[in-house]
Amino acid sequence: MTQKDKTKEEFIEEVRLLQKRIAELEIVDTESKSVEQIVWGEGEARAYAESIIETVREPLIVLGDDLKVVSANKSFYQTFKVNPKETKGQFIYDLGNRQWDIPKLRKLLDEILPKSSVFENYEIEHNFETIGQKTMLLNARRIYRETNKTQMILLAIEDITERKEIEAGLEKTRKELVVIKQSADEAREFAESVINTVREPLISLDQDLRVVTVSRSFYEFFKVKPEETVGQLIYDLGNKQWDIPKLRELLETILPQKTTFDNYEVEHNFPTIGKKIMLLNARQIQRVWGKERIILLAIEDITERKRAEEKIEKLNAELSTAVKELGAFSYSVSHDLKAPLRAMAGFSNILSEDYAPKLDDNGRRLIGVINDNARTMGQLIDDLLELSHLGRQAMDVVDIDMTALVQSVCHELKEELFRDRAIEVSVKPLPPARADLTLAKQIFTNLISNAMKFTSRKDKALIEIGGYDKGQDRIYYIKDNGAGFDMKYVDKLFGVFQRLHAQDEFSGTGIGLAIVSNAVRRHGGTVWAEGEVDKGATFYFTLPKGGQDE
Amino acid sequence: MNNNDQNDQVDILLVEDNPSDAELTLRALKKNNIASKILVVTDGAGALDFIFHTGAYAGRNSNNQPKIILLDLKMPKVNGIEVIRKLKSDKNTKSIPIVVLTSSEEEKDVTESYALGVNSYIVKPVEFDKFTKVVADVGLYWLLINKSPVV
Repeated sequence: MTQKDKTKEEFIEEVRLLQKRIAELEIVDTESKSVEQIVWGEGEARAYAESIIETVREPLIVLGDDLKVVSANKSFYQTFKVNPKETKGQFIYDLGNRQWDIPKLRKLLDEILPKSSVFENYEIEHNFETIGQKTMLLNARRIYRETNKTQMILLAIEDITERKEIEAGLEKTRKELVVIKQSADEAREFAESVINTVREPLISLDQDLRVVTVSRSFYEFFKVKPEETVGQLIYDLGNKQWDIPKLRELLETILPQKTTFDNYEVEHNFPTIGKKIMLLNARQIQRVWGKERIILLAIEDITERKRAEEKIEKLNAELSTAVKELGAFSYSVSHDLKAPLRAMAGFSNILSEDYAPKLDDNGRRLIGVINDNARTMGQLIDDLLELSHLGRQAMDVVDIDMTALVQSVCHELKEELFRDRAIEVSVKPLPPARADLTLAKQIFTNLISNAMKFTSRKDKALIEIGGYDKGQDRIYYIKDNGAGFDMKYVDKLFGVFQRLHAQDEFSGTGIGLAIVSNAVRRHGGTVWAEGEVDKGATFYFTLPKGGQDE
Repeated sequence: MNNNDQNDQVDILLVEDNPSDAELTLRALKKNNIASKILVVTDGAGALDFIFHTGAYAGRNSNNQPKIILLDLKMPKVNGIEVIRKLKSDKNTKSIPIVVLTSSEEEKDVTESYALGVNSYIVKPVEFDKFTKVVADVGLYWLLINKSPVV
């Protein structure tokens, strides 16, 4: 670029700037003309300004250069409960017992405003003597008065105490909401994790019976996927396999009335998983937020349990039939066995009565053998009958005075069977039992008659009968000093037809202890024995406690 | 004991299907000189025919009813319980004393027999001595001690 060029450039630039300046001056001129058009007389403008000031709802105060009050509006007087007399002409800081002598106001008026002519939203918090704790927003304008070349300060005071309080309240509410939401989220998470942890399939439905949430176990159990489940009408789920009349009844009829339903049994053949028997537990829950209701449905698959129960029932029925048949069998066997036996015994007797003179000694002995065996067999049959009878007889459980029972049994046995024997029986006081009287009597009869029988070879037969409590058990015992037994064979004692002695030592059928064992077991008790050969035996059994307040 | 002469007075009607039991019973009665006129029928149907003079006993004199019926329970055709029911529900026959003489000790049989109006229930003992004594006692009581209405 040449010098000449440069000069030319500078010249053009100069002209451009001049043109711009002229344009600006023209705008200023136009503006000043329009200002002139609305310039009013002094009085008129003042009245206008004052009427605005009076109309404004915010307290307004006008200060002079010296910070003395020139004027204030009605709102100011009302808000601060002061009157014009004690206000006008006063130094602002001296107003109303110096209640306006606020450091922040001083800062605004003394420092900030002299530097800038406008200040907005200057917040002051102050405890006023007349009106208490207030938060105010101050808007200030410094106005230059052309007429007398003075400055005035217009101060607008906005009481934002209430707004502040509302805001503070809102803030508090917001914070609380955050906390509530947090705990609600936590609760929801917890509930969801519970739902997903529980093994029972769970499903929640909205008011229109559409699926809202589903537990993992539901998907697993019914072999369905989330995308084909959530949002669906429950009846439409999985090819309408949930459209079950009983479920409809539960959801549409029962739940709206009851809000809770437990153990509602539904049997249904599902295309996916086959025939299932389910227990439904349903709860209708009112949501806290909003008025909608949610139905929670828990599904328990009891197919297996039901099957097992049915199997047990069937087995029980079979068992009780078998027991009945066995009872009938043993009854008729015993019954039918007796007739030929009676004939054997009868006719051998007739033989000996009518033909004795024609028989020799051996012939008469042989008839005796027939008779003895017939008698033994008769006893066997009677005992068998008794055993089968005891097992079938219904129990009538009552409180029993065991001491009295034992004494009467001992007396009867001595009188009927062991009249010619010297037996010393010591009956200790026995605690009462709660049992069937017939069975209890049978137990003692068999055990005591055994004790009497097996002491028959002792010079002095000693029998002791007693009872005591040990822990939860009420134990009774019958102790003798008789033949005893070898503990090796203790397991055989209570079996049917089991005998530990030869017939010519001690007679018996081997059924007595089986009857005892049966009778004790029917009461839920146990029976056991201790013994030593030639030293004696002790038989123990337990029965439910009697004589107790219930 | 003569089945041929149907108009003979019968003291005891023994209803027993087991010939051994029948023979033992007859012997016991005879040995103790209880009764001489005893008729044995072997089942309930025979007993009903005799009492109601039907079947084989169609021409029998109905005024000659037995003084006592010894009745077994377990019998072919018509059992003892049915016989009791028939006789005790008919006004013409219900006053004939019936003694059940059976092997059955079943409570059910005892209860049912008495409910139908049987006069006595005796369980046959297996032992010969006891059996003989029981049969003799029954015969003695019902024929000699007990007073029955004239049928």
